[in-house]
Amino acid sequence: MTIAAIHAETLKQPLGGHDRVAYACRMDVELEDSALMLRYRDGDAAAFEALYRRHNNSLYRYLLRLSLNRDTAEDLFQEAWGKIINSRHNYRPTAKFSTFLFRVAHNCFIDHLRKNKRHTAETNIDPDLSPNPGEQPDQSVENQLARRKLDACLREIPPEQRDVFLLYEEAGMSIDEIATITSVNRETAKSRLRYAVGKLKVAFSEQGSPGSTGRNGDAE
Amino acid sequence: MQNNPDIDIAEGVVDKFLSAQYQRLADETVPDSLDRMVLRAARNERSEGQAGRSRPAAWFRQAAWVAVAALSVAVILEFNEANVFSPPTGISDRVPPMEDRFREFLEAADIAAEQVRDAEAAAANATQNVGSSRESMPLEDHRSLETTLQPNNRECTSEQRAAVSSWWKCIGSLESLGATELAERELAALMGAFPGFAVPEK
Repeated sequence: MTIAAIHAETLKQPLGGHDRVAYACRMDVELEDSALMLRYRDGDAAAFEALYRRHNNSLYRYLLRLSLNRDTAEDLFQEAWGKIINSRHNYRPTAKFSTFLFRVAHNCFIDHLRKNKRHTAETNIDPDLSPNPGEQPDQSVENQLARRKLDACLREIPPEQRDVFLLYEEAGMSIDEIATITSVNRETAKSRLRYAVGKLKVAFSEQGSPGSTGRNGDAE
Repeated sequence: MQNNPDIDIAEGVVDKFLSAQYQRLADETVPDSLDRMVLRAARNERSEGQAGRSRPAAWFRQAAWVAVAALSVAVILEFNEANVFSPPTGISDRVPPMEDRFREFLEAADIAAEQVRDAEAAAANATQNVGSSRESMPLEDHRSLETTLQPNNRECTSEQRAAVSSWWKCIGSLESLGATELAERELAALMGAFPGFAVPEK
């Protein structure tokens, strides 16, 4: 289906809020990201909210672990979405929206690094100590410790390798998409990912196996 | 890369253990306040964008530029008329060059010198003729000659005009020398300057 056809089709479909998106999901006509962005460009705020809900947490975690600082991550998160909002009139769905979004976020982080040379020395994620819904207190403490280990492992690898690893894990990018976002060739991106994975495996094994419950609340 | 099955993502083969560990642990979500901030920004931006088409923002910027340009041109023209930007040219237009002024000075000096020579010559001739012809001259010619020779025969000096008595004395001398018209003008001036002056009877 061409972009024009997607756009024309999405304009026919009603979308008044987040519940409408859920309705669209049930009907197996979930709108693509680019279609939602086009609808937002045409004035549909609900389309943006639906789009935002799809990517907000993954983008947040990407920036959180990339910057290793909660305040910085929140600033970059807001800045990245602000750029998405401001550029909606010029948006052309030539690539996946997620690629566009994470590229904007990646560039925000690069700009932040250039402005703040001391960034790498400031590590402060401050994990939220409140237990997740359905999580036992003991389990929560154990998970917090595991997260600290994860962050410590991520801190040990260079930012370029960490960036590639997070793009793969959080955004689900392919090597080609990662190469596009980080503005390197495919082999460089692949090499960075290989090094990142190798180092993280070693670090994980040295620090012991982290916790057993996580993002989906599933127990091992 | 094909030798390492843990990393070859292109074929979907990754380090599943590491990936699973990461996915379990990295479960942070966006703070609600941040969510609200972004969504509010998106709504505000959309409403501003929709309203912006009907507001004068688009043409206002262009109109502002035109106004600034017009004001600039007006100010520059005003300054040009006032010769603010060209002081050397204005000065040279109003003040003649040094050479011209020097030439005018020399010409004036020549004229003055010539007048002095003429006056000296006339005085010398008059002096020579006074002694020989004074008795034989008619009274009117004599008076005329006296008038010519008197330094104060044309009008009263400012020092004489400073006081009524000296001014009146001067007028009397003019009358005695026959400069009646001049004496009458001086008397009129005296009466104008000193209205309360009573002409003494002769």
